[in-house]
Amino acid sequence: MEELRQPIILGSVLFYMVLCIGIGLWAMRKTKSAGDFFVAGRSLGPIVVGLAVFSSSLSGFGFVGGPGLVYSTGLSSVWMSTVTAFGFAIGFFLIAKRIRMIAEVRDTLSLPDIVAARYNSELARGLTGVTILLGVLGYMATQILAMAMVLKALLAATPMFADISLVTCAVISTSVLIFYSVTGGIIASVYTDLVQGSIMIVAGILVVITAANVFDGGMTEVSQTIFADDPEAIMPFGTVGAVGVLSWFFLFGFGLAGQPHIITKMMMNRRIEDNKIILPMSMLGYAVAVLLWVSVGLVMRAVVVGDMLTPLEAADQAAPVFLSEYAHPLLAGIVFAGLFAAIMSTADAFLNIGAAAIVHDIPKAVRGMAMKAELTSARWATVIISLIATGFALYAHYGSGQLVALLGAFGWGTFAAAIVPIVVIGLNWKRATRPAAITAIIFSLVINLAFQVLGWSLPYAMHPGFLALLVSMVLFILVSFATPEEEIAKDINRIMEL
Amino acid sequence: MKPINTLLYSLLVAIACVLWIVFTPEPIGATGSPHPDVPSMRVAVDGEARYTPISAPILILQTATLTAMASLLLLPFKTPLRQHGMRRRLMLVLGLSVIVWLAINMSYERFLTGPQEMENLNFIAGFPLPSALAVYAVWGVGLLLTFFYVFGFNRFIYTNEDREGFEALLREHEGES
Repeated sequence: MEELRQPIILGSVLFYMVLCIGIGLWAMRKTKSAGDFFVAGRSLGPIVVGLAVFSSSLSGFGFVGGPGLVYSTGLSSVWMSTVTAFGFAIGFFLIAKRIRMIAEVRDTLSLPDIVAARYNSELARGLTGVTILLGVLGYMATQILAMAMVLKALLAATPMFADISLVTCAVISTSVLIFYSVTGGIIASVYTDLVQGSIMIVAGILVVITAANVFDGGMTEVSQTIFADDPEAIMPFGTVGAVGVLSWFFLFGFGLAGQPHIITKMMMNRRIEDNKIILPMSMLGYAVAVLLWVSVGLVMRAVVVGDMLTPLEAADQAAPVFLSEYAHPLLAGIVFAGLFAAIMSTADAFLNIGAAAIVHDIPKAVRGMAMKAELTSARWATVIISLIATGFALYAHYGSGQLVALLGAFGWGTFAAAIVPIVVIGLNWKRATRPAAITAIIFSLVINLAFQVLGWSLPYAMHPGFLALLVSMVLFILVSFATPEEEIAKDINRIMEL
Repeated sequence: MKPINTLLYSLLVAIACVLWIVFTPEPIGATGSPHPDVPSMRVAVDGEARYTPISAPILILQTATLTAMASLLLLPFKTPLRQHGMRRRLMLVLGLSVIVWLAINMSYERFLTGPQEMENLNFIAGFPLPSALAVYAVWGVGLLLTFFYVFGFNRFIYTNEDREGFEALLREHEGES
C-alpha cells in the first residue's frame, strides 16, 4: 500500500476537483436569478447551512496554519479555537434570527443591504461594501497561493510533474474554483461546502485517532515530551504569553460574528427554526477540526524535540509531514482532499460576497441601483476577482508580498472591527446611530491599515485587530449616545422588537 | 443596569487594562524566543519573569472580556420575561467562565512559583491541569450557550409570538407591495 501513497493522494484530490465541477454544473441549472446566485433563494436546509457555516469559517489555516502555529508556539493558539464556542453563540443569539427576517422582508442579497436597511444610509452600505471588497481580495490571494503551493508540492513528488511551475498549479486550482463558483454561484458554493465539511469532519476524526497513537503513552506522553524541552510550551498560554493569547480570545470570540462570509449564510436557510440545528452542526464540525489542529501540532512538536524526527524547515510543514510519516495512505488522500476542501470552501464564500460588493452593493451606494443584468454581471465579477486575486498571489510569491500583506490587513481583524459594532450590536440596540456606524467602520479601517503600513506592533504580542475591535465597539456606543436618536424604518423597528 | 451599559463599562475596563499592560515594561523574551536547536520553533523559558509583572491586569482584562460577552448576549432579549430567564442562564455561564478562568490562573501561578518539575504536575486527559482547564473547561462552558440556544429556542429565541409577529409583518409587506 505504501508504494501507492502518491497515486492515492493525487487520485483523491483529482476526484474531489471533478466532484466540485460536477456540483457546479448541477447548480447552474438551479441558478436563475441574482437572488439564487447570492443567497440561494433562501431555500437551504439546516444541515447544508450548518456545514457551510463551519467549513467556510475554517480556511486552509485550520489544516495547515493551525498545526504549524501549535508546532511553533505550543498551546498558545488553543485560545483561538476554544473561544469559538462563545463566538458561534454570539452570532446565533444576536443576529441569525434578525438577519434572516430582514433578508425576507427586504429581499436583501448581501450584508451591506442589511446595514443600509438598519441605518437607512447609502454611505454605510458603500463603506461596508468597500471594506468587504478589499478584505476579499487579500483573503482570496492568500487562499489561491495556498492552493497552488499545496498542488505543486503534491504534483512535484511524481516524476511526470516534477518540474511543474507554481503558475500552472495556480491556473489549475483557480480554474476549478472559478468554474463552480461562476456556474453555480452560492448554490454550488454551499453544496461543495457540504461535501467539503463532511470530508473535513471525517478527516479530522481519523487524524486525531492517528495522532493519539503516535506515542505509546498517548497525549500525556506528548505533553510530557514537550514539557521536558520547554515547560511553558505546554502550559495554557504557550510561548506567546498571556496577553497575546487573550487578545486572540477577544478578537475571535467577538469577531466570528462579524465575518461577512458567515453572516451571509445566515440569510440562506429556509426556516428561522432551522437555526437551532445549524448552530450545533457548525459547532460539532469546528470542534473536530480543532482537535486535528491541536493534536497534529503537538505531536509534531513532541517528535521533533524528542529527537524522533529531524526539525521541519518551516512550521507550516507540520501537517503535511505528519501525514507522510504517520498516516495511512488512504487517510493521507482523504486529508489532502480535505485540505483543498478547507481552502476552496472559504475562497468560494469570499468570491460570492466580493461579487455582490461589485455588482450590487457599491453601485447601489453610488448611483442608487445595482448593475443591470445582475446575474451575468455577478458571474463576470466572480471571474474578475479571481483573476485579480491570482495576480496578487503570484506577485506576492515572485515579487513583493507587501501588496497582499496590505490587503490582508483588511481581512479578519477589519471585518471584526467594522462589522461587529454596526451589525451585532446595531441590530439589537435601537439607540445605535448612523454617525456611530460610519465612525466604527472608518476607525476599524484606519487602525488596521496604520498598523500594517507603518509597521507598528503592540507590546506583549497583543493583536492589532483586538485593539481595533475594542476601540471601534467603544466608539460605536459612545458616538451613539452622543448623537441624536434616529428614527428606524418601521419594518426594521418591528423586527428589532421580536 | 441595562446590558448596553454593562457592555460599555466592561469594554472601558478592558481599555484601562490594555493601557496598564502597554505601560508596564516588557521583560526580555516576554513573547518567546527562537528555540536554540530547532528552527521555526519558539520557546518561552522563564514563565514567571514574563507573567508576574502583568498578572493583575491580565486577570481583570479577561474577567472584563467575559462580562462584556455575557452583556452582549443579553442585548437581544427585549421583554422582561425573556430577559429575566436568559439573564439567569447567562449569569451561570459568566460565573462558570470566571471560575474556570480563576482556576487556570491559580493553578498556573502555583506551577510558576513551585519547583516546576513534571512529578509535581497533575495530567488530566493528556494535559497538565492549567492547560487541561484551558482546552476542555473553557470550551465546555461555552458549549452551555449552544445548549441554552437549542433547548430554549422556542421559549427565548423565536417564540410563537415572534412567529405570529413576523408572519403579520410579512403579510403587511406583501399587501403594501
